Amino acid sequence: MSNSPPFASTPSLGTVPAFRVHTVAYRRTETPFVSPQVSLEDAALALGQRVGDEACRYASNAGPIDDYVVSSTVLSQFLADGSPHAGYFQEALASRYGRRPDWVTNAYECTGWGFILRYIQGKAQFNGRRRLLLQIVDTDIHNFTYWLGNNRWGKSGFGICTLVIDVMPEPNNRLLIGTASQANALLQLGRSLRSFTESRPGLGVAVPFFPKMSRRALFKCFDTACVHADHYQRFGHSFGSDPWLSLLAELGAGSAHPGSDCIVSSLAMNGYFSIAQITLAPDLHFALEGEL
Amino acid sequence: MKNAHTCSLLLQRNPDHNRAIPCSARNLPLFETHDYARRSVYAHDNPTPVLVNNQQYYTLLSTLARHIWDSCGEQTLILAQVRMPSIDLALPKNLLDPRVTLGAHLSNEALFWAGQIPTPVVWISAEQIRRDLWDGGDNRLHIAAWNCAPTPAISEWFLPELDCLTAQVHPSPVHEPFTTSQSKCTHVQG
Repeated sequence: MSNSPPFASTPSLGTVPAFRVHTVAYRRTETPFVSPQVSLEDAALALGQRVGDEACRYASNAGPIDDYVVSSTVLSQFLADGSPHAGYFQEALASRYGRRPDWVTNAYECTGWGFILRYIQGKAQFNGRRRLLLQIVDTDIHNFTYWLGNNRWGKSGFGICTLVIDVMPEPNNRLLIGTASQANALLQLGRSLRSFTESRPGLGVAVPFFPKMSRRALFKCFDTACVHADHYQRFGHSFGSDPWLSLLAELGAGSAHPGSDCIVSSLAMNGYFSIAQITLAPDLHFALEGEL
Repeated sequence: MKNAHTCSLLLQRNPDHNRAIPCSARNLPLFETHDYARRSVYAHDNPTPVLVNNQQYYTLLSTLARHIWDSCGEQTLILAQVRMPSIDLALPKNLLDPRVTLGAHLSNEALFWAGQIPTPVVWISAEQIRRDLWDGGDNRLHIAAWNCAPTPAISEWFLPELDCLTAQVHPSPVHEPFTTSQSKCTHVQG
């Protein structure tokens, strides 16, 4: 269902992009990621190394990074609670990339990237442009059944998304963060997408990967002519990585292009949503499963 | 560098006056036998009681945020270290406010802001509060504040708000660069 090209659009002359994306890459992780017998320490190390490898591969040549943040929905609490195991995760990551994340958050679920962009934009107000390395890490080292999928979001996709984004201090109207009750979340995301896209005609729209019924319900709320193709069957619901995977698929298909703008969106199971207009750098680096 | 006011508070009672919290309460639903097995792999003995459930934990954080804005001013930035995720419970709206950032390892961010702006910045470490038998932690809450009036002492801001948890000022090992092992409110180099 959905979509029709063209998605490419050039930002209006005279406007400054708020979020210029220089790198977007995604790599799936195995399920289960580690066998049940693996110790927590070894699981932390294994995931940290994998995340660090991705950062090294896609951010090492991205110039000085001002902020490095890891966001997640499913990341084990043991890797983000200040415990020794959280330290092992960070050390393993740093052993591959050469730097620990400045901070980690799994508080905002799939919409973490939006909250992080908002926060970094706040820092940019004081110091000017900030280059952000953001990794969205959704791999469950415990392999709990809950995360494999359910009737709320369908089947899950696990992996690591690596983004390098220049965050500008202004303008402020390129990011919309909202919240709704769980029962109305999909509807509210749709309504917000309607108001956000109406003033940005022609821009491609990346929406979360959901099963058909949810997608259909979302699509009742706004003009879906520019929505990206449905990649749920290919990737599953991949949590906060969905809009970035959607973008990668469109880039791979030639229906999105470096130098253009598009709209990305995510919805959290607790009803938060993030919508942003981003600008793809003309020299954008992108890779899906290591394929450039 | 600016001075930080710090304190550590030990929570000793649940808000329901020690009515038992079901021990089966978990942050994540367990559906199958192997889920229990996987959980048991990383089970650990922790004699510290589980005092709050997810709802009470969020209420605590939300109350602290509201109280900080009442005490220090509406412009105060809050960086709160929390243990997540919790399923099927939305964060209170005031914790989604742009003045609040939730995550782990936020101490350096707090220091960044403290040095950058003249207005108050408050860092809260709440990730050691247990709400599941699986959780590590010691039920201690650490707080640091910058750019705030030196009096009243920081612990005096919060103790009345935490009465239902029988919070006590408590000695704390060094947890972050700006916390101290002293048992009462103090000023340290941040």
